[in-house]
Amino acid sequence: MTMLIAGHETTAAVLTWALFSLVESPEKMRKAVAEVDAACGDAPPATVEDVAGKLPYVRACLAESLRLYPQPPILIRRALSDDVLPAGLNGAPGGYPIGAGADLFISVYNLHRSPHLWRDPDAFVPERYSERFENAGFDGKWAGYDPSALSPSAMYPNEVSSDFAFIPFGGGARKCVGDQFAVVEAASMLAVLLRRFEFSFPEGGPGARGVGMATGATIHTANGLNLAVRRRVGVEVDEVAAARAVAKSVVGEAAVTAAS
Amino acid sequence: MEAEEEGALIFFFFFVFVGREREKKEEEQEEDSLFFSFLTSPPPLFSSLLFSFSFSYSLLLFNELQAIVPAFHQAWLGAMTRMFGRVALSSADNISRAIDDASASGSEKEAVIDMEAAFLSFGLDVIGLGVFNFDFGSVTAESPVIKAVYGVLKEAEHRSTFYIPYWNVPLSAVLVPRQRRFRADLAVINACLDDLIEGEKSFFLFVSFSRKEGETRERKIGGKGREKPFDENLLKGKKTHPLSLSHLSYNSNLRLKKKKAPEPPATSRTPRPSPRATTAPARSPTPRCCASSSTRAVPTWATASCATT
Repeated sequence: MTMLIAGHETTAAVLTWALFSLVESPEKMRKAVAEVDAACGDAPPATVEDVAGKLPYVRACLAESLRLYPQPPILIRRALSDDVLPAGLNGAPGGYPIGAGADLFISVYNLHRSPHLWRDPDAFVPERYSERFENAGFDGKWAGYDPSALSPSAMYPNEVSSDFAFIPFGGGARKCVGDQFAVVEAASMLAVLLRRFEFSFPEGGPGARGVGMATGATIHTANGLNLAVRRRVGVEVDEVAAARAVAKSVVGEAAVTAAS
Repeated sequence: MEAEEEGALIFFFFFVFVGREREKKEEEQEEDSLFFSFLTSPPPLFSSLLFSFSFSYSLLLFNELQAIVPAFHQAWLGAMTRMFGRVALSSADNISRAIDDASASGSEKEAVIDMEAAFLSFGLDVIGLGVFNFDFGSVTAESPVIKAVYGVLKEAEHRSTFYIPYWNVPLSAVLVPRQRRFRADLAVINACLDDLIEGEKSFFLFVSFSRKEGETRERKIGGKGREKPFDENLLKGKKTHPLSLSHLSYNSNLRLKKKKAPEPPATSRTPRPSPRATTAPARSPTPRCCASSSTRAVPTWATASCATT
């Protein structure tokens, strides 16, 4: 049950808000489409390395979608023993005592939109993940966002490079098990769609405002993400070759069986 | 509270609600008089919660489970990547068809599509194929099984948030419409699972609800009366089995070479023994003893945690 909910609603929501944000910002959309055209062409990415190496901007768009619309928007923890949480910025100097058995609801949504931690926090800016950001107000208690702290194989800016300002998959020992699965999955879908179609808000409709926002286990739209979809002009897609590129590989499946 | 601090509280930081669930000691009661306290702090607190002391804080509903190492096997992820591509292509094919249908009726070569719904179908098919080895086929068609799964999910949400567990009251399953629907949904899922097990298509799980409020548990259909949390089933059922088999073959190679080859079980003449053939192991004691010996020599829980790192 956990796998079913955590595994599909969240990824769908990430894709929904990534596409919504890209449709809202045509310049970012052009950049993402150009990357997909150059890196993948008609075929979906066939390996994890394709997604990691060739689609950095698409991955940054997904990260930005996760920053603005974290899925889920809150994390829950229960204290197993008494503890004192540190004060942080402008907090009570003595920190916050937490009793055993207390349930803590952590609002990732607010964390990801804090102006103390992000430049222009409410804007969709995938480029931000390659820039350094610091806040002297923390007096050394927050290391800031540092792209160079990210390991080369990392699929998304994480809690290490942001010193826990960006935690779309949680962190520590109980971090989401499906983080890479989700990023590769969402990037594959975006690569296929952006190669083939153009998206816009339907003419004469309420536009972005008509989408609405509703929050349950994930942040989803209130009225669906209804978009006018057209085939891209001047792009002839070779669907047979695309399907062949990701066809079931007997060798690959056998390797998986042996590895498990 | 100072204005600056209040501003920080509302806009600048994440919020932590603290729900007291136990009776506190007398001296603490004054400061904890509110049912919900409201705390605020920046990332250092987060790293404290999630990282440094992650074992001091448990996930709310799954506190009995072990933490899972956050990595999938790379070879598996590689195979998954091609699967993502295949499902994405069939989603794109569907959108293409919708555009063709729309342009056949009107002059515009475009269709208005709810992309959120398209992404949900995509995600569901991916998780079906990736985790359950089952093709929901929701990208291409709306299936009654999907509807039933969503119905059961909704009911789980309802039961975890509703004030009184009225569904335990006798006859509520017959008298309350949403409980009737829930029963019907479960029947659809059950029928689907029975088919799968008949066809030996996949390791699959059956969702049932324990009486404990808000707690969802899954029961493996094959083993009667055994209730296990889902994640535990997934790990124990999928990982330990191949591991014990691989250690078995390793041990057999080392130690059993001199011994006469184990007698083939009577049932092994059929291509694959059916899951109901529970008497088969009893008829072939040597392989069974080898299997037990393998799990004794190399306990699979120990190897499972080594293998995932």
